[in-house]
Parts: sequence; structure tokens; C-alpha cells
Amino acid sequence: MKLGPLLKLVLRLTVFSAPLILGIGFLERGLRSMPTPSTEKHKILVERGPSAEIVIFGSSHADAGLDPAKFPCSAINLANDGQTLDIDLALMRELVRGPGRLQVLIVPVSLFSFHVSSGDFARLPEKVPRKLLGLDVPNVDWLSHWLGQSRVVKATPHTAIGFALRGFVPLPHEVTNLGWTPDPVKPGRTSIREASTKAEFHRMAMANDHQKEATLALLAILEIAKGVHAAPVLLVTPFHRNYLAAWAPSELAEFRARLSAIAYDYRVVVADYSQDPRFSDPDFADADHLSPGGAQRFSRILASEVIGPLVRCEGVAGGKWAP
Amino acid sequence: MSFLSIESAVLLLATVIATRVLGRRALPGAVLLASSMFYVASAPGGVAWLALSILLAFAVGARLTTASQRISIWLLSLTILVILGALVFVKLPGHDFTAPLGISYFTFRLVAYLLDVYWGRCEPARSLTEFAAFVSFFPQVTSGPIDRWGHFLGQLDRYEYPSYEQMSSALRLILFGLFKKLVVANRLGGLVDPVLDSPGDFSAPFLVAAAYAFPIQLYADFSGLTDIARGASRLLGIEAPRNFDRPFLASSVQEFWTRWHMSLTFWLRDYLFKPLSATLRRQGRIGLAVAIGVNMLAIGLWHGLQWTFLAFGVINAIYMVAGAMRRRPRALQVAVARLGLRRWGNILLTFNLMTFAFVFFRAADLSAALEVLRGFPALFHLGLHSSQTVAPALGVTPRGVVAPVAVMAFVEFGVARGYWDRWFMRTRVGAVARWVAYYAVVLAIVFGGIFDNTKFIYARF
Repeated sequence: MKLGPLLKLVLRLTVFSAPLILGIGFLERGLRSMPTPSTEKHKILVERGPSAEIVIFGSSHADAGLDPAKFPCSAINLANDGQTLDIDLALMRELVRGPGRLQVLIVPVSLFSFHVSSGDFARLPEKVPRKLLGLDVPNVDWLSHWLGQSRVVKATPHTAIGFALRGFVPLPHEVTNLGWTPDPVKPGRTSIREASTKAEFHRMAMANDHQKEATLALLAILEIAKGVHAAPVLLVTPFHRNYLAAWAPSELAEFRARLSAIAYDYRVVVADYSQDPRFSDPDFADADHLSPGGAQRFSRILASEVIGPLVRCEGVAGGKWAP
Repeated sequence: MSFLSIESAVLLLATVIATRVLGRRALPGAVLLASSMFYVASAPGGVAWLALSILLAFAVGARLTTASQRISIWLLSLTILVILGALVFVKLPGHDFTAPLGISYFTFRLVAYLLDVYWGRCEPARSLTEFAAFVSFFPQVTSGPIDRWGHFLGQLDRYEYPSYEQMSSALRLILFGLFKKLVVANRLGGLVDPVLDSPGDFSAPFLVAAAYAFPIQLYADFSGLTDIARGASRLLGIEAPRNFDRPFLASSVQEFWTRWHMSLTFWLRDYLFKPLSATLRRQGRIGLAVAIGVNMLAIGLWHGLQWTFLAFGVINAIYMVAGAMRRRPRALQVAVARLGLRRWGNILLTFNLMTFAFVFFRAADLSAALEVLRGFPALFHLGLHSSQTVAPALGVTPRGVVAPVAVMAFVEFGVARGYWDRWFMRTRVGAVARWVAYYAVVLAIVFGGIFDNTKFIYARF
């Protein structure tokens, strides 16, 4: 038996690895305590869920487009960038876990919603550290399940720096997600070219084709809503005409047919504002998101035309809560 | 079981300890046991094929030295026909049969063994355990390098446990191999794979960038795997042949093929090109051209019986034959030499020529290759490509790709030029710098590596 050199190697490797293992372990432990959309939404649901009479799910279209302060009762907006129906379902399950006052559930659906699942918008995680640190992010693995599926965070230089700076730098909206943050208006973002680029980006996510999961998630949300006697509303937010023009008529027809079929089968209200002529260029921040002014208008319209008839406010003093 | 997995690492460590504890005579048995476990866990469907091939070659190899010349040649021809025929059969497209893992590699090892024994270059294997350990040697069975029996046996006969320095250099190879695969190749894959998988969806700049990035991705992937395989072999005390020698510094296609996948090109040189060119010697330059052409076609088709690999072989054959036949006018040679850029100009030209050939190598079919190539004139607004303006999201940023490639090039260059040994291995300050460099590479892998893809491109051949 000749173990001398091998033992020496193992010993040196141990000495070499010890600081690495300790450092990475410390970092990972710290990262797990960092707020994620999952932890923050959990907090909102625990604190505000039981008193919420109107709850909004959905993707960035609802996040940028719906100001809950404009609604007649206590309302919370749990929409988020790239949030898909399966995550909406997870939130719904958490929402109805305890007693509540839910009366209206707004489930926004976009042209891609019936085809995507969490993780399909793989590019989105880049935005979090970029907004957090103002840095470009070469590693898109960061928070690969950041949309609430997992609290385990993969370490990258950016997460390491982010962890070191936490408390000093405000967290981005994508993480804290406290209701309604309007999208700033970016000139030129509604042009035909930008709109077609955006539609192409959405089509790429749709190519993963999670049709079955997405549809089942939506149906499950509707069933749960019925179980707690809440009125679900399937909402399509306004889109810029150039964005709609970037989709084939057959794609739009298929989307609407699917929406109508679900509305008929489950007797739910469909509020389709996608082509509403009341919204013009100044109402849009980009091809598919409303501007701050547009969001205010849309929220008021929705409150009076759809939510008002469905809801009877019994909520907290002042009748509403919004961040 | 992937070669790049915790299970493989544990298996390697267990084999290293077993050979130390049980003594050097146990090495072939320990290696064979570990290789069998690896192969069964990785590709159970190919075990019988591998075992039968080993038994056949072992039995025939033993007979080759004792049988008469006439019987030997028949036996040799028949066995090689069976072994190579099996390889061709599994490479044929359009059947549902799954090729045994590493069949291209172990088949070439077996054929080389039989020919070497027949030509008297080496003794036939005396022990089935040793021979089976050689053919199925788990660090090399999936993707080479393609070792020779004489080389392997020589190491067994003069076996010494690896020293501390050899083991630490083995770990260095493995570490840098992991960097090349997980950081460089996988990051480049974020650009190359989506674009070259569906070139019709991308505009000219993406096509051109992906075409140029692919040879570098392939190099990082394959040479990374080779480094890991060589490191793993070295930990067991067995030195594997080199497979790459800075191929992108080649100043001609001929030179490129002496620096790229060397164990395959040297195999073909020894067992195909040399015998063929000797046979065709009387035909002069035409005979040489035929031998070169056949050799390059074999390189292409070794990867698979597909039109794209055939095209890759044909293009390389044209390069090589043109290079061999070339007679550059003296005046031109002088003019080029005076420019002082000849070597770098040739390096650049060679890289471009090989990039063109690798477009066919990577493409799913010939039309996809042509789609990629149409991106080149479109880039210069020659209007031959209806380029789309949409640039769909790719999982990479230029900085995230260029930086790791630059680090890889810097390290490879430094090691090859001897700077590593001079600066890091011989001084006390160097020891500290060495550890700093190791930490940097480990952190680069942890933070910058993409771990989703642990499959190697060359493992499918």
C-alpha cells in the first residue's frame, strides 16, 4: 500500500477547498434569505390576503396596467413580469388557504398565456440584478426559478454583490412587487418594428408549448374561485394596434375562441379590452403595456364597467387598500 | 451516467484508492471493474456489443501470430470487416437502433490493435483483463483519445504510481477541462445552438457570429473533455495521448489536421493514408491526391453517415489536395514574405476555411448549412438573404462569451509556451499565484459555468 502522495494530495485539496466551501455555503445561506417574488407575495398574502375583496393576478400587462387604488374596494395587485397561469394558480391556492373576503378575482390573460408556463420567459431574470445593481448580466441562470417556484438561488457574481449590498440598495419592483408600478413611457416603443419584435419575443416563449398546463391552471383557478364564491373575470388589457397587427388573424381568432369557450363553460365574465378604441398612442408605454396615464384611465374604466356591478364593499375603513 | 457527474468522480476516486490499496497488479482488474460499472450505468444496451467486440479481437489477435500467413490475412480481413461493418451499420441513418456508447472510439482501438499485431508492431494481448481494460478504459471510452495497445501495454508493464506532482497536474487538467466545457463551451452554446439549430429564424449578424463561434465552442467542448479524460487517466497512472495542440494557430489546413483531434488523424494516417499512399505510389501526384481525399472523407464519415459529414470531408479533401498540389510562384512567395504578415495571414485564412467547413459539420442538413452561409453575403448587404430584423432573445451577452474565450486562449498559450512552468511552478511566489489562479478558475466555474448541459458534442460519435 502506497498512500503517501495520495494523502498529501487529499490533505492539500481539503485545505484548498475549505475556504471555498465555507464562502459559497455562507453566500448561498444568505441568498436564501434575500427577498424573492415568492417570499414577498407570501408576505402580502399573509398580511393583506384575508381583507382583500379584489385580487389581481397576471403578467406585466396587468402589473403596469391596473392601479388597485382606483378600484372601489380593498384590492391587491399580485401581477408580475412574466407571471404565468401556473404561478397565478399557486398564488390562488395560498390566497384561499384561510378565511377571506374575496369577491372579485381578476385573471388577466394575454395572447401568449395559454401557451406558456413558468420559466418560459428565461430572459426575464436578467432584469432583476440589472435593476438592482445597474450591471449587465452575462449569466441568465440567476434565479432560474425566480418567479416563485423555488427559493433556492444560484450564486453568481451579481448575486454575491447583490447579497453584499442588500439593505443599501433598494430592491427592484420585480422582487418586491407591491401593487402597481407604472411603466415609464419610452418613445418609439410602439413602432411597427418594436411591436413586431415584442410579438416575436412572446411567440418564442409560446414555442415551448405548455398549452395543457396553462389551460389546466386557469381552469383550476376558476374552480377555486367558484368554491369561495368569488366572481372571476378573465381580463385582456388594451394592446397597441401595432402589437395586434404583428399577430396573424388566425392567432388572434384562436385566442378569442379559446377565451369564449372557457367563458361559456365556466360562466365567467370576459372583459376584452385588447382593441378598445378609447385607448390611443399616449395611453401606451410600449407596444403591449399601458403608460401611467393609460393605466389610470383603464383602471377607472374597468372599475366602473366590470368590477362595480360585481362587488359590494365591506372592507376596511376607507373602502380600499392599495400600496 | 454522464462522464461529467458526481458518480463518475466517485468512481474515479474509488479506482485510484483501490489501485493504491490493492497494489499495482490489481490495476487492470480495478480499471476493468470501474469501466464495466461506468459502461453499464451509462449505456447498458451497448454492453453486449462491447464485450463481444473485445472477445472477438482478443481471440483473433492471439491467432494472428500463430496461424499461417494465408489464414492470418483472411482472419484479419474478416474480423476487421465485421467490426467496421458493425460500426457502419449503427451509423446508417434511418434506423431505430441506438449506437453503443463510444463505438467509434473502441472500434478504432480494436482495428488498430489487430493491424499492429498483424504487422508485428506489438505483441498480442496476453491477458483478457488487460485487453478489456484497455478497450473499455472508462476515462476514454466515450470520447477518446484513441489510444494504441502498444502504448497502453507499455505503461502497464512499467507501471509506477503517479507522484504527487503528476496527480496535481492531473487535477489541473481536469479543472481547466471543466472550465473549458462549463464556462466556455456552454456559454458559446447559448449563441451557437439556437441560431444553428434553426438558422431560418435569425438574421445575418447572428448567423455569422454563430458560424464563427461554433469551431471555438467545439474546441472548448471536445478539448475540455479530452483534458478531463487525460487528467482522470493520469490520476490512475496512465498517460493518454494528446488530442489537441492549439489548432487555431495552424497556418494551413494540413497543419490544422495535425493539431485537431490528433488521435483520430494520426490513426487514419497510420492505418489508412500510409498504406493507401504506398499502394498508389506509382500513380504519382494523382495517387497522392486520391490517398489524401480518401483520408479526409474517412475523417468526415467517421462522425456519421450523413450528407453534412460527407460535405465536411469533401471540403477538407479539396483543401488538403489543393494544399498538397500547390506550387506558389516564387515572386508571390517573396512578395508575401515581405509583407511580414504571412504567418498571421495564413492563420486567419485557415481559421476562415475551417469555419466554412464546420458550418456543414454542425448543420442538421445541407439546406440548413446553406441557410447559414447565406448570412455571410447578407452581412455585407449583397442582398442575397431576406434577413429578418427580429433578433430573438439569446441566452448570452457578448461580454459573457468573449471574456471566457479570452481566458481560455491566454491560459492555453501560456501553458504551451512554458510560461506556466516558469512563473508558477518553480518559485515560492509562484506557489501563491498558482493557488490564486486555481481559486479564480474554480470561482469562474461556480459563478460563470452553465451546468444545465453536461453532454459533450463528441460523446455522440
